[in-house]
Order: sequence, then structure tokens, then C-alpha cells
Amino acid sequence: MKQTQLTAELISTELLVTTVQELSLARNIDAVMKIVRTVARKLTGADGATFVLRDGDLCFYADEDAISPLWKGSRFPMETCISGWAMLNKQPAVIEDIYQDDRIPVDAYRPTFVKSLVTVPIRTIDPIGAIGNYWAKHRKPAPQQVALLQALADITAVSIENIGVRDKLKEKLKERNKMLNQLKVQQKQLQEFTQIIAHNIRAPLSNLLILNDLIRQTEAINDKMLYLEKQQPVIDFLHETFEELVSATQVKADFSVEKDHIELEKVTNKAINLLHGEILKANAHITQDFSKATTAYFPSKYIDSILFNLLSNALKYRSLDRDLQINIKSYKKSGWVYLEISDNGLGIDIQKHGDKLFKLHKTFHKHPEAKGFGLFITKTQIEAMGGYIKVKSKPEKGAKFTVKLSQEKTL
Amino acid sequence: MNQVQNICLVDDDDLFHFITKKVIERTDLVKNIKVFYNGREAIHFLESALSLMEELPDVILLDLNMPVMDGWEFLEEFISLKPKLGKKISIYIVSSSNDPADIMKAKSISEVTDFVIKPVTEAKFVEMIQGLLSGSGKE
Repeated sequence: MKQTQLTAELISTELLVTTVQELSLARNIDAVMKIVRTVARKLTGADGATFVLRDGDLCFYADEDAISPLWKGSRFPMETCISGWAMLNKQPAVIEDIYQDDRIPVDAYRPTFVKSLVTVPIRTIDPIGAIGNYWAKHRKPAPQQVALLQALADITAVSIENIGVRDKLKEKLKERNKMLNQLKVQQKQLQEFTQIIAHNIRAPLSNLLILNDLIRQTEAINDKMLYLEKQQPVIDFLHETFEELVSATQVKADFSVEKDHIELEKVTNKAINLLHGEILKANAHITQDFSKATTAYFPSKYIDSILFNLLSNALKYRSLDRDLQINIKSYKKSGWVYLEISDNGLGIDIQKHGDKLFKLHKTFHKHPEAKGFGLFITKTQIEAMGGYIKVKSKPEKGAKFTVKLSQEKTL
Repeated sequence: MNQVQNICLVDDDDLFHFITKKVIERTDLVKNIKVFYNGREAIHFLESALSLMEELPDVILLDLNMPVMDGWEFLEEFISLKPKLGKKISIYIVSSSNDPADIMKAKSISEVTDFVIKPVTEAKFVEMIQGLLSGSGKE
């Protein structure tokens, strides 16, 4: 008798050790429950085991392993349920005859095989659940069995907490990675800004400095006047550059800008109307086809500026050898709305300039109005909304801008 | 010799041409000043004047950021043209960039004498030319 008990204890200890190892590999609560409900029954040689989770004021019978069904999937009030009692009293409940114990709601037990039970809280400080053991015959569960079950409940508590910590860490890591990516983008943009300051502010500023030197060093009043006149456009340019820089910065700070329902045809016509004079001057012919995607979900001030920039770009860099033809169309692909604007203008050598095309103040034509801000702001606005802009072009073959604009499903 | 014969400005900025000419004239260190708006124009001129000693520049002030052909592309073409040139030409990069990457790249090209950050003041220009005339300029 003593020998058998020793052997049984050894087997139970071994089972607990294996369970600890298995639980350490469990990555979610379902996996934990699956391990625990089976082990709980084996550990004590019970006829049934339940895994109960606290759900506010209710006991949720999340899982079970028994000779016949118990209460899997049911919820009972904490106050009227023995698992609830174990959790509220933070101690095991050991019941030899359930029909003699007033803590037991006998109606719930009548349909089951249960005559005796043990239930232990999972985590003794502020329990999060309970493990129950049930027997079909009257018996008084031994203190060792209760202790073993409590040991299992304690390991279970640690596993569940670990899963919680791991999930939280994962979440945090995801958040951090997202922030890191955003920081990387912002760092790149900051570098671009530094370059603009260097290129586009220093050049006119150094011209002003020299002009100022010349004005001070020159005796002749006519020369002084000439230098003064030369200062004016530089000052205007600096002013304009400053304003444009400010508006570019606003896009960057404006990641949370609100989206609107956009009628693509309507906003396109708006941009065309604004450029009416230029279009007449260029004798441009514009076709539109929005039949494949009529609407988009996008900030309206951004779409206005994007269409204006892309259209005025096409107008600005038209070929003087042929009439300008601009084709605008929209379509859907993989859940996104795309916008495509192509022209037969001067085109750009993409192989040579592709990477610089959308950078601030990079211009590729010897053109008096080429300031290079438009495409930069356009790109920034599109990227702020999660899309992209791509260009295909060859010198003298025109250009085709493709904009991945907005997600279709948010429509 | 206390005067440079010819100098070329290669820069897409009209105003830079105007004021740099004024600055250079004030120093009285240069006889002739020629201007080009991009690297391509300057290369065309050099090709057309390969052995015309009177025409070829002694000094080129080269901007980096230019349309059509920028400063770096000009330098590439210049290097392949150099053996045919009848004159030693000193190239100064004159840029509004103070990007360390640009400066490093410039220093690594032996044809570049120095990297000058705009503005080109009278004092800076005098220093530049005096260094060149006294032979202390990098080969």
C-alpha cells in the first residue's frame, strides 16, 4: 500500500515536471487550457477536470476533459458556483458529497456524473480562474491530491501571466517598430530639408551678400541703383521659397489630416479650371476616364494640390514640337484606387534622374519656372496617406505618373 | 605673372554670373571672363578650343547643381578630355552645398583644386587666385 502510494506520487511529480516544460512552450491561453485540463484529470485520477476562467462577475467554464459532458462554454455567477467560491476565498474547495454541501448549486450538478470534487484557484493572490476535479463516486480527495492540483494551478497561473507579458511585449515591439519606421522616414525628410536649406537658401543668400558688398563698395550712384534692382528678384525668390518650405513642412506635420469623399471627375475639373489659361496657351487636349473608379477617400485639399501640380507639370514641360495631349484615368487594383496622368511632353531621363525626381528643388529642365517644389509636395501628400507616386518617362516621349491614391474598402 | 588670362564661370544662375564678374573685375586679377550655364556648354567650348591657348581658361569656377549637365558629370567629361587640352586648367568647385559628402567627393578628384562654398567674396577670390599664382594650388 505504502509502495503504491509512493509510486503514484512519483508518477504525479514526473507528470508535473513534464507539464511545466510543455506549458513553457505554450504561446496562447488555448494551448495552456488544453495542456492543463488533460493533466489535471490524470494527475489525480479524477473522472473529469474543468478549466474555469474568471470573466468579471462570472465563472466561464472554458474547457474540460471528462467521462461525460460537464459545463463547457457555460457561465455562472461567481457567488453561486464552487469555482467562484474558490476564487473569491482564494483557497481550494474540497467536497466529498456535493449534495451535502450548501456551496453547491445542486440543480447544475444533477444532470452530471459528479458526486465529489476539488476545485483550486489559479493564482492565489487575485485569482484569474480555477481548476476543478470531479469524481463519479463518493470519495474524500486526499490532501496530496489537493496539493498536486494546487501546484498545477500555480504553474498555470505563471504560464498565463507569461503569455500576457509576452503578448504585451509583442504589442509594444510592434508599436516601437512602427514608430521607428516613422522616425526613419522623418529623418530622411529632415536630411532633405537640410539639403534644401543648403542649396536653395544659401545660393540666393550669398548673391544678396555679394550685392550688398558691391553696393557699399561702389561710389557710382548708377551702379548702386543697378545692384539694388538686382536684389529685388532674389528677395522675392527667397520669400517664395520660404513660403513653400513652410507649406511643405505643414504636410509633414499633418499626418492625421481628415479624409473626404472625393468625386474624381469633379476635383479634376476643378484643377483644369484653375489652369484654364495655361491650357489654352498650350493648346492642350485633355481626356478623362474615371469609369473604373469614380470616387476616392482622400483629403480634399491634398487631391486638389496633387492634381494641380501634376497637370501644371505636364503643361510646363510640354514639347513645343507637338500639341500637348494629357490623358487622365482612374482604376482599381488590389483594393486601391489608382490615378494615372500621362502626357506627350518633354519627358525625363529616368535612368539618370529617377531618384532625384521628387526631391525638393531638383529640376531637370532649363526652365524659368522650374522650382521643383510641386512634385516634392505631391509625393509627400500621397505618402502621408499611405500611397505612392511612380513615374515612367523617356526624353521626348512624355511622362506617365501613376498615383496609388486611396484604399477602396474605406469608401 | 600677376594676372590670370582666362577664367570660366560654369553656373546656371544668371545673377551669380553678374555679381561674380563684378567681384572679379574689382580684383583686377583676371583678363577675360567667360560664362556658361551648364556643364554641356562648357565642355562644348573646351572641345572647340582644344589647342587654342589664348582661348582656353586657366581657371574654371564650377557649380555642382545644374540642369542638362551638372558639375560632377562635367568633371567626368573633363577628365577624358584632359589629355587633349593644351593648357593646365585649375578647377574650383563653387557651390552653395556644404554637404560633407559633396566635399569629400570633390577632394577625391585630383582635377579639382579646391571646394569653395558660396558666396565668392572679393577676399575669397583674391586668396584663391593668389594661391594659384604662387603655385601652391593642388595639381
